[in-house]
Amino acid sequence: MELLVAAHIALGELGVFAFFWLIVELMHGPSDAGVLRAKGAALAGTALFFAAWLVGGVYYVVHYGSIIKPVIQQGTWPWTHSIFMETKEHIFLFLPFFSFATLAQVWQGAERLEKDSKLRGGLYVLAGVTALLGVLMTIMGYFVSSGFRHGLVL
Amino acid sequence: MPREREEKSSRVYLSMSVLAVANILTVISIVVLTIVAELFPPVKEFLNRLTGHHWITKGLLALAVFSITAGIGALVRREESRDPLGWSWFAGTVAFVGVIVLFLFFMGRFIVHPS
Repeated sequence: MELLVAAHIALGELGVFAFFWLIVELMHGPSDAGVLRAKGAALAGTALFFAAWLVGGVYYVVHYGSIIKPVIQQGTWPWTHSIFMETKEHIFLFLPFFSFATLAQVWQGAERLEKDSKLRGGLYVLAGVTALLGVLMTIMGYFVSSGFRHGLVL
Repeated sequence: MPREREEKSSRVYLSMSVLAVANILTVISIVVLTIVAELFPPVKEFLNRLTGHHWITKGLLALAVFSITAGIGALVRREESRDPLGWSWFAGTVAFVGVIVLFLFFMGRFIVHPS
């Protein structure tokens, strides 16, 4: 179970890192090598978010409801499940689709990334939204794990 | 702009709008389905029965909505979608409104029924 949580967090954090990396690559109107790195970052980020979805889903469906949730609900911070986990588990479903849209745009528009500022502008927003959603997941995950710790010390 | 380049440009811009619409409909589906399932227990039970867990069902439905919308959009190829920045802002705004709606919904439910 701990391995699943660790893998879920690591995959998600690396996914966020990949999308921030993509934004940095787009900033200067990437040349050939920059476009290649941007495509790599978008591909890596999307693959990492899909993997985080799968691993986190297994953890959530198999372990969370039976082991973690009861401890949080009986602890002093039950709101961390009722508000943050409930919100997190549904918002997470946005992430793979925003990351895929970014990936599709980077790969389809690769040859125009250097000169087309409109396309880069759209990609800044898509990649930025994806990365921010990932950061939100991290923050909400912190609250959920804090709620679990508060349940354990009772 | 040469014709070939213009066609490629149109395809890319179109894709941004199609993917933005697919994302918007996916977000709306998730938010609406989540709230309806929480307010009406038989709906949540139905979602549970379909795959064994309501969250798995919602994920698969989101995947279906996105895939079908993007697939249809790619076939339709609407020409007025030449504003990638505007479309991505639209999709991003809907996503963050979805975040706020879900957060406020679950917070309100906890305040009314703290359990």
